[in-house]
Amino acid sequence: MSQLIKFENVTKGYITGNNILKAADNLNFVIDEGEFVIIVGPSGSGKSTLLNLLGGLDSVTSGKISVNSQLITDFNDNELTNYRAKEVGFIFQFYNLIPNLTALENIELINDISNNKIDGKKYLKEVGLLEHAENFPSELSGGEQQRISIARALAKQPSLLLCDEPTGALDSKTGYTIIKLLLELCRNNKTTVVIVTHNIELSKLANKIIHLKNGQIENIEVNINPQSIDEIEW
Amino acid sequence: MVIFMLFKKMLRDMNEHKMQFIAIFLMSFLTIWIFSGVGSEVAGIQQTVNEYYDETDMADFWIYSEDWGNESINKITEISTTDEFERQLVLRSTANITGNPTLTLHFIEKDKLSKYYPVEGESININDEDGIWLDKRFADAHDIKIGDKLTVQFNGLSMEKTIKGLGYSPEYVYAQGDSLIPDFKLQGFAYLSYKSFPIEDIPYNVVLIKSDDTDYQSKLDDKIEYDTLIPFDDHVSVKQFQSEIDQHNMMGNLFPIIFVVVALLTLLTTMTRIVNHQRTQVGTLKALGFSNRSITLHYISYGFYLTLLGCILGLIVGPNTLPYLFFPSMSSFYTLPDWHSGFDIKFVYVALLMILISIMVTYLAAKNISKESPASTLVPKVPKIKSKGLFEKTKFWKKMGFNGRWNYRDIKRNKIRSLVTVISIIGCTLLLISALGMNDGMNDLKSWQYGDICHYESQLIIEDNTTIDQINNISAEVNGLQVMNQQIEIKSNNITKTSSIMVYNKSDLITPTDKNMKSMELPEDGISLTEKSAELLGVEKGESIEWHIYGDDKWINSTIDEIYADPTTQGITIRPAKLEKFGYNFTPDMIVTKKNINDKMEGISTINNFSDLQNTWDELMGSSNLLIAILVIFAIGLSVVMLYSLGILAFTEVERDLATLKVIGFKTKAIRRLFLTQNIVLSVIGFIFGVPIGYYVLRIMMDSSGDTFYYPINYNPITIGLAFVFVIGLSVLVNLLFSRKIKDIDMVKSLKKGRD
Repeated sequence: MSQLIKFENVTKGYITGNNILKAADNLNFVIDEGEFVIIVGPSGSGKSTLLNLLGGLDSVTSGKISVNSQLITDFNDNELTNYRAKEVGFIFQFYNLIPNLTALENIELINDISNNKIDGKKYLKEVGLLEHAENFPSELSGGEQQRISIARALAKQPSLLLCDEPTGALDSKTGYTIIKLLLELCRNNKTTVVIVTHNIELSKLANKIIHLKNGQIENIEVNINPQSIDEIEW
Repeated sequence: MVIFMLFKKMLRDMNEHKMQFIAIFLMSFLTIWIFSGVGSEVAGIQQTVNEYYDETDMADFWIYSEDWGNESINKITEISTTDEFERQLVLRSTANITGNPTLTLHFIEKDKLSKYYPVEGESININDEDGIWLDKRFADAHDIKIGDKLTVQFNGLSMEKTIKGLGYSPEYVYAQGDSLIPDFKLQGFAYLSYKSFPIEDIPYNVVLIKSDDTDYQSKLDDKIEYDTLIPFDDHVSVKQFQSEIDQHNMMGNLFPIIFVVVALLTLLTTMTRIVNHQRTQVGTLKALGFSNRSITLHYISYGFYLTLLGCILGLIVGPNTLPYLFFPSMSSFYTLPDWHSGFDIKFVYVALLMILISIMVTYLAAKNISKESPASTLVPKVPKIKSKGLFEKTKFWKKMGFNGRWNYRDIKRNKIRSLVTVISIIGCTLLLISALGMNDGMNDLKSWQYGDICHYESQLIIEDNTTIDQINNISAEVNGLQVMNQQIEIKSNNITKTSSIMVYNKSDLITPTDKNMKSMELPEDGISLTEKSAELLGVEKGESIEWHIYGDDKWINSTIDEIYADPTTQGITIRPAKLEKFGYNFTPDMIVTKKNINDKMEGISTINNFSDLQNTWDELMGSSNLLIAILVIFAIGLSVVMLYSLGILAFTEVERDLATLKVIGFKTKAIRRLFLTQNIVLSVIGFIFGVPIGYYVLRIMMDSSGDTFYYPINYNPITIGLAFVFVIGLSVLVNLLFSRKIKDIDMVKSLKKGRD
């Protein structure tokens, strides 16, 4: 497995009044291709910040991030937009679907920014929601919306799937379905999946677990034999 | 790259905010509709009249003198810049038909300048001694046909001619007569060859000149003596018609301003709300890989398509509707060979400008969010630290109930939306005030002229060459007042104006008034000047002016002893005795009397019956009434559309809060009162500003109506009160439309809606 992501001395600071708040403080780690990575930590530890930096949603104050041998920290706005369009798929805690577009249209939205026209129905089928193609998000349950969101991310065929508390707004049974889906994608498509979560239990499924506290990496665990989802307590 | 999904999103977003976007579309449409509609009327008639003057070789100068013999004419030809000249004998005659109407005869020398414009029958034939070419409108009014014989009388002579043709004349686009309004039954014109004049040696009294020389008059002064020179721009018909065109033009440029301002502000406030509301969506799009540019373009398209559509529709509908609305009344007052709408490329430029500005406005609303990093747009905006305003710390605040406090904060937090509401009400108010004020003005004018000033029933026009004795006999017989009304020129402050002089003895048949229409005494031994003339010349009571009667080249220097006001006749009033002191003879043109005279009298050419003239006045007011009706309709439309769409904007913004209020136990009525209060407060503010602006606009409109008419603006409290009731009434009406919405707030659903 080759190295996909490398964070080198990455820091992100915000100036509030007279203080500098370091949301990310000197982060250093690598993630290999095809890994299922979990990022855990208490509230305010900088999990979302890490994910945002990784996804090119925000810029670093100092340090280097390379993804797929490209230094994304050197990218200008256009290159970052391109990076997000081609390399990254996002899953958000609150699904973030466009309310005025149907399930199918939400997926095919990416046709607006890509030259390769995708068939949204294929991805809807993959997440098991083909019959809801013409429904608006308001007509679907939380779990269904999240699956649409995953289908949307998948349609881009990204090398990297970033998930910010994907099951945070779902009941445990539905959450189970989502994580199972993500795991399958990771193992079958060799997509690198990075999940930010509160749920420590998921560590057992992951190849790598990054523990954050106060914006710093406290500990990086490596799991040589990750368990399957049926083996853990849900 | 086909931006298709985002286009669908745009359509559905616009549907969600139907009312606002309908309002934006409507206002853009109205702006261009009025601008291009009135503009094409103006372009059309301007083009028609210019072509008319060209085709008929309209003269550049008219020079009046006692007798243009060959010697004087040779002097004219000596001036090198004279391109063409032609002599005419112009005199007034009475036609031997019902009513004894006045026919102004033009005996022409060549048919080269200011040519008669044939519509039916033959063209003018200089060699035809028997032919008369008659004013078609006059002929139609009297049912006269080609081939009929017509007898006219002037200076004691009688003449019978055969009507060879019917047509128009470029000098009679506006046919000024003895009455205020052209009545084609009472007056007309006719063209004849000089050869048909009964006397061999025809005494031409006017020379028409074609010349591009702007300095012609001084060259002429060096060569010959003459009575008066009138340049093209001062010709009474040219001037009146041109000022009418100018007035229409002014209105066509002025009124669209209201609509474009409202359109753009509504666009701004709606797009600001949408963009802020869709913060997370914008963040998602950025995360997905949409560039800032494509997101900005997406939002710009909301305003763009609508404004584009509104402008295109306005450009198409405008020139095909508005002109035809006004042509009927225009053509009853003026005479042109045809009436069609025109086109000016400026309509397209203004439409493009409007579209461009709408793009800029939306860009303004969207640019901030585009510039933020994707990460920050994904999270709700940190609310600005709101400190308590000064007002909130006062004692007054503590006493204000929930209603007052809620509305105060709501208005403060939504400044732009509140501003748009106020501006819409200002627009509505000013339209109403213009309309009602104009209506007041028109009615006032009529009652002023025919009620306060003129107290006679019949106006007897004296035939030329009637002796003073005869005149005295007639006025004694009918117990009437002799009146002299001549054209004069007045000069002051380097401004020269063509005006009138009215000369008559003090009588209760004509009672002059001040500008408030209150009766006043004019000095027996002094010069009195009208209010409007004083304004035009920039003079006041006590200052001096120079004046002379047309036909006399001696200028008289006088002090203004009194200022009075007259709605229709501007200039000077003096007593006959005073006139004679200046060396002029008192030669009355008419006798006015309380008696109703119908039979023909010796020495009288025409009798005008005043109740008839009042009726004609009402007809004339047709086009003004049309305009007033349109303004009122616009006022209603503007305020209903804007109040409702802005109300919905306000409503949906706080729908969640209202649901909470309902859950707590607020009654629908109390909630409705919250909105009513805000609507009324903003309406009152808008009204207060709108009234003075409305009167200002009215003043501009009235001032641009030419030099002849004086419309005093009467700040009638009843009118203002009516406008107030109207505006507040509309607020209440719109509010009622809301009560259904408020009643139907689904408390459960509203509280569930995400924290979007």
